[in-house]
Amino acid sequence: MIPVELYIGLAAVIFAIGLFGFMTQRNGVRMLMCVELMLNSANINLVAFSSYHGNLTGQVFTLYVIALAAAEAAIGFAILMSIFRMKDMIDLDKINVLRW
Amino acid sequence: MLNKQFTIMQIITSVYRFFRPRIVGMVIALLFLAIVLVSVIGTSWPAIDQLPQNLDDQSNIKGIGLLIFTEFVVPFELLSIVLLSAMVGAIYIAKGEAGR
Repeated sequence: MIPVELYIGLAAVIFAIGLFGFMTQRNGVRMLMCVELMLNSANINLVAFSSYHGNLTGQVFTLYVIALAAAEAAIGFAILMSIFRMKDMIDLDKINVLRW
Repeated sequence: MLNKQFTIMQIITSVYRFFRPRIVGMVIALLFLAIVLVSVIGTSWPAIDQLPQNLDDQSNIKGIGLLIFTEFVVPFELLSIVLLSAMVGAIYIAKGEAGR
């Protein structure tokens, strides 16, 4: 049987890639993609622990995490659209004014 | 793109130039990965020895469905409200002022 460490290691690798991407990206859309990557790696952990403890609660919680990630992505893209309409670019480095 | 001749030196310099501004992000992500992997491999996980293979509910959808509507009804309803409000908020933000 596959030991649990491999699943957790895979989730850690995916989370590290998402973290690296999130820190080094300037484009808003790409940052949202990296946030999704990090959320999905957390989901991998949830499902792995849920199936390795013979208990379905983790998988139900994963469903909720996926739904909330969808809601968060919707709001994030809505904000990015309004920023793009205002400034014609989504280079988040240059946006440092809360009220323009 | 494919038919050009790349010398090894060119590849190395282009990789270096790509990662030059992103070195701090890489260091932090790799540090995170190292910490998590070392702690994961170091601990012993109390997992069950054999994964539960109940034949009638192979992909445990029935189990998750039962769990959602019996034990996790309140989060399920809250989740629908959250998703609805996220969608309404996203549409309102993305629409912007109707005047412009």
